[in-house]
Amino acid sequence: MIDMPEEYMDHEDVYALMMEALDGELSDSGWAELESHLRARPRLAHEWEAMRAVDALFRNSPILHPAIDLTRRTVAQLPSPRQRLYAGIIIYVMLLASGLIPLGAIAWIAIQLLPVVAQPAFLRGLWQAGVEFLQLLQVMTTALLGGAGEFVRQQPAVLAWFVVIVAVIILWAAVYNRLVLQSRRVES
Amino acid sequence: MNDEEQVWLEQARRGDKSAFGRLIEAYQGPVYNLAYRMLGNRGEAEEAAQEAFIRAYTRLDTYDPARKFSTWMLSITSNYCVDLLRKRRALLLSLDQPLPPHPALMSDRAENPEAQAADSEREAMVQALLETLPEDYRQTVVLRYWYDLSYEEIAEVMDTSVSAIKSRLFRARRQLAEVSIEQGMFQSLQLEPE
Repeated sequence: MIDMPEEYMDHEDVYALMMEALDGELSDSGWAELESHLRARPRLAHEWEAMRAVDALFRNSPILHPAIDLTRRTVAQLPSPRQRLYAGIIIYVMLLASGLIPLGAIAWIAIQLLPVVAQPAFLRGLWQAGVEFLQLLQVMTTALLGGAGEFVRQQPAVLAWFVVIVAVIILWAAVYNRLVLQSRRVES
Repeated sequence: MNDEEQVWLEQARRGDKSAFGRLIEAYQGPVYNLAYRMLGNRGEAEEAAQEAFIRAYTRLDTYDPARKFSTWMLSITSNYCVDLLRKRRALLLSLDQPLPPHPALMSDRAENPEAQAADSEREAMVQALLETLPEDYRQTVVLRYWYDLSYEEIAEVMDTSVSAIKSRLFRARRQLAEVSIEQGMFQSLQLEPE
């Protein structure tokens, strides 16, 4: 059975008979049934005549042939296996080089920097900078959380608004999922 | 695919271009016709047919002998044509201007100008109707009418389900009927001798 669009569901049986008829698969009793339906529905009969006319037009339309030298021109454009092999080798070498060149550059830079980086004074300075950065982060986080806590204590309505906003987001996500995503799944 | 074509295929797989040339000769009609029906333009159809054969040649290793070679070739061609049509649509090229009739129709009946004019008119009508269809409907209609492929074979070429093909053909036939009525082609089609 053909998957009919909704607007044709009223005449689903008639359209199914029409398709079978156009495919040359309709039995004699099917033809009789189709003709009786069409006699009762002039609009469908008109559409059926148009379908048959287009069907006949297409069936009588010939297979067209290209210019006689198409084969010669196409063969001349076929890539040779040797060319393809060379192209493959070149691509392989380029990919290999694109990986090796950055690796080599990193190794060279590391060798150049190693004597400087390995000095105890540099390492101590690096350690000190890391510790100071962590301390700074700690101070900033403490200040931010403290400020937020103080704000909520002074304005408790803000907390309620925050809860409302989260609830609205969850609600709209559920509605979107229900209406949009599920209908897309059905269509596909 | 007959035994001779099987031999050509094996030779082509080993890099024998002339053997592949014989396969091109055997299948150029169906491949070109499909491209022409899809694209509606002789020059583009020839280029598409060439490109389809070149793609087939470079992918011969992936050809599954359990499939029909013709189906595989039509699949490559129709997919390539659909890509071209999508690019063409993306470029917003106008396809409204009438296309010249195919030269094959002009030369075959050169001694009978009236028959030639009728053929050209019919051919223009065929292409005008095909061009009203979306790519996937057009693909289905061409494979059904010009290649007489079964629903299963069309589904294989288009890599989809049989029920999807039945649905597309149904919608395409209704759309074609509606267009033929709206554009007044229906009357002239009815007057055409069978």
